[in-house]
Amino acid sequence: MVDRQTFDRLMLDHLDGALRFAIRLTGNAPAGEELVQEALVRAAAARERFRGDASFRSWLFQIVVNVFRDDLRLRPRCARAMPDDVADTRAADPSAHAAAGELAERVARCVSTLPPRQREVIVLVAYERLSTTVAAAMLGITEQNARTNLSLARGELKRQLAPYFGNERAQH
Amino acid sequence: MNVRSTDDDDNLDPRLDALLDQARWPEPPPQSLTRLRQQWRDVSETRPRSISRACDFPVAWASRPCVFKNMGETPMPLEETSHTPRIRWLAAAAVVVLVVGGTWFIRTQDGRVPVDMARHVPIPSQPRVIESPPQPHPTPIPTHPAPSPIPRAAIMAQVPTPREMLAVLTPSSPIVDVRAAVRDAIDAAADDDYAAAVASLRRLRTHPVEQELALAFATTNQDGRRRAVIRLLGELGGPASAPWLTRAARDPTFAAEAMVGVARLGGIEPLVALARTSQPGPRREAIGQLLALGAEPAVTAFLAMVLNDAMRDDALAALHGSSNPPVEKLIAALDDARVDRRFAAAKSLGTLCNRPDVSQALRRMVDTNRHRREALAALLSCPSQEATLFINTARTRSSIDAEVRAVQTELQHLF
Repeated sequence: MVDRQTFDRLMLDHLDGALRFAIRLTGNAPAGEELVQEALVRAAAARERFRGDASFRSWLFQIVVNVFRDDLRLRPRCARAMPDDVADTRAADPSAHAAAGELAERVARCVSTLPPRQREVIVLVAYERLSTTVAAAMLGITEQNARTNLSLARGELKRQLAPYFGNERAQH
Repeated sequence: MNVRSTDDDDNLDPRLDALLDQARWPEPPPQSLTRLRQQWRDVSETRPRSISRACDFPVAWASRPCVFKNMGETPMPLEETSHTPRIRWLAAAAVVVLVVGGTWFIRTQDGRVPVDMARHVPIPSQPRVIESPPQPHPTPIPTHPAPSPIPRAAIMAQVPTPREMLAVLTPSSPIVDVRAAVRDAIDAAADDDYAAAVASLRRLRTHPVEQELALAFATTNQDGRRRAVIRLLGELGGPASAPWLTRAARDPTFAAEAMVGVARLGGIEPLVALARTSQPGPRREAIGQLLALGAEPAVTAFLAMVLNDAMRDDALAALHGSSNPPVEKLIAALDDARVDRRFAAAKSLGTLCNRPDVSQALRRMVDTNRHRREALAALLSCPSQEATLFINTARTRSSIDAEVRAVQTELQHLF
């Protein structure tokens, strides 16, 4: 077990990352902050379970994921609700939206409205740069399950973002 | 972006990766991280380290040893900690099913009694039959009734009923969801139903309540709710809350609420320390609470502030604004062995000379020559015209005039 000072320092160092991770999972900043707040309370309670043999970041993110799941369990409808302005693939001219500079937000919104497990996997793999093996361990699922969810997530995102394929370079 | 996946993933598409690279989530506001850091410090300091892994056992009442550990050695009524209610109820249901089912099984055995159960049941003693030696003349052997089988009712009377078993297993006090109770109390206190909030929490054990209150403070951003938490903690918290309240009292936003708790738990010492802070709000609140305590050491500390150039104005302003100033104690301080304290008390009474009782007491003291110098000092410090008129009239007497001049010199020297 790490000593208290080291633990506090680790926590403060990783707060920023945890907050960004939570925002990616929830899709908005206030909900992300709430998630991290609850995660902090749990982390304080579970401080002695962290023995330092795993990455602190993984440990903290695991708590954030657990809080995220509990939150979804309590508020399932809110979590599954899709925002009104997610890209409509039948829109006449989706490139117009992209030109308006909304593509980046749209992509983020699409990621944050995937089914929870797919969302967790793709955020960890695509944005936190973890391998599927590590992501699977963090999420408490098998590696095959992680790969399947990743593939499903990519399929869903491809379907939703298909109208924008080819426009991405124009945004750079 | 390389979204690592299986090589044969049909959904692997560089165009998608390029789009995913562009994703931009809302940026957290800058104060968000600051709040979280502050929350971590609060939570980190609040959560006692004695809550060990054993105490995280999901069923609160089953973790009795760790609760005793936290509360000292005295067994206390148990309330729920912050564990998942669902797990708790599942475990309780399992215990009930086991007890009821086991008893039902025993009762429905048709006359059969488990061997080890029969062993523990007291069996009515039967007279032993002793065979008599052979007799030359056979006599009829006394016949005794054959030992009857143990009546089932007698055995079952010894088996505890499900209700009795539950009475043993159930904790003596009802399981209370402390977190929910605290949340409700905070809501009530925030809605100005403070008395009801305090009453509802008084029934619970102090330690978990103050812990939940501190956590509630750390996890809310609304000032109204935070004030409610501080008031409740000040009213209900134990000594462990004192450092936390002292820290909150340094914040001008919460100084008024926190200072009451600081005074209750810490007494004079932390109030004197808080009265020396650079923030004017907390400083005045601390002095106000010091005066509200009214005890002699508090008045002595207050007089030291009056003698301190840097603190005098705030001290006298707090005294003037106090709804229940310690007049008796200040008058008693006019008899102090130290001159500076006597004059500090006189200066303080001069601030209160707008009160008829103080004004009359001071004039009487001049007239009766009882602590006349100090009474004159108080009246000289009084800004009212009546006091000035009284002094001018008194100065017509040469002895008093000389004394007034001496007192003025002393006042200039001290203040």
